[in-house]
Amino acid sequence: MTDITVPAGLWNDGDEAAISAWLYADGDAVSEGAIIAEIMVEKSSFELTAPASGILHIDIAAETPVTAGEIVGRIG
Amino acid sequence: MLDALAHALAPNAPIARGRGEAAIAEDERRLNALLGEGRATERVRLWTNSRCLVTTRRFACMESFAEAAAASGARGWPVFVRASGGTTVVHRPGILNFSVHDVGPTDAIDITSRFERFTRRLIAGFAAVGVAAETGSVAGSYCDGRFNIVSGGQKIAGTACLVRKRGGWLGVLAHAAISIDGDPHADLAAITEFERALGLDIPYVPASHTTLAAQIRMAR
Repeated sequence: MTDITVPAGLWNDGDEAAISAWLYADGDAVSEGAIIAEIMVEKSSFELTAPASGILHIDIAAETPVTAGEIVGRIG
Repeated sequence: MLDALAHALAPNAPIARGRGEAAIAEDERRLNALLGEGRATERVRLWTNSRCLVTTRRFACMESFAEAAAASGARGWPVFVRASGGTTVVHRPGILNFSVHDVGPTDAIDITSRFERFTRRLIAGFAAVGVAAETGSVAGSYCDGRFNIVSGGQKIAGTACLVRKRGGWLGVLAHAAISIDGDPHADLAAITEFERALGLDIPYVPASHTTLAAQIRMAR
């Protein structure tokens, strides 16, 4: 399993970030490098890409606040 | 008026007249192309679009999206999806889009400072055509945010960003939709109807929006 981690250092620590959308469903096959989710901070959209190819397992649902370094899903 | 503001924002950039989805996708295509070059660079794009609503991937994931978009299209407001942040906005010929594509090494880009630099450039552009503006939220405006461009307490431009990473490079697309002329009430009505069909009921206030033409008229 490869963890999908919220990137660090792209926005200020105090800013509220949330997964605004998963672009694939739980259980979908994804390819390494594909854009699989977006994180919204204010009106900036930060894209999460698949760190590996395989089956997507979503741990943190859309509309949920997240923090830098948090694991939001896995690919296995 | 549109030409004067465009010249103030980017003196040497032509204004592209786009149509619908292709004009929106062009912003992402340019960002990807610059990321592919693998060097620090900045480019600008000035463009207008045909009449449409442009919403986010978040809204496009909603169950009733296809039905709501089809109904909006039947009313003369086709709906397209963009990758940058915020909520639903309007494109039409009276709205000038200003996009800045900025690519740099991942550890050298601070998104907030890039966003602030972008809004300073917009405010300077408005000043050059005689309109005082500042950044701030406007309660009741569509796609509200603290980096709106505001004139006389009303929203005159909305801004949003897309941040895309590729290898050790970060691409930032900063985009502003600037209301030059036309009827913001009709814009708001189209957005409200579409978002209600999505199951959202956001209490927008028509008086929260203005246009460059209206602000220039008031300044005279």
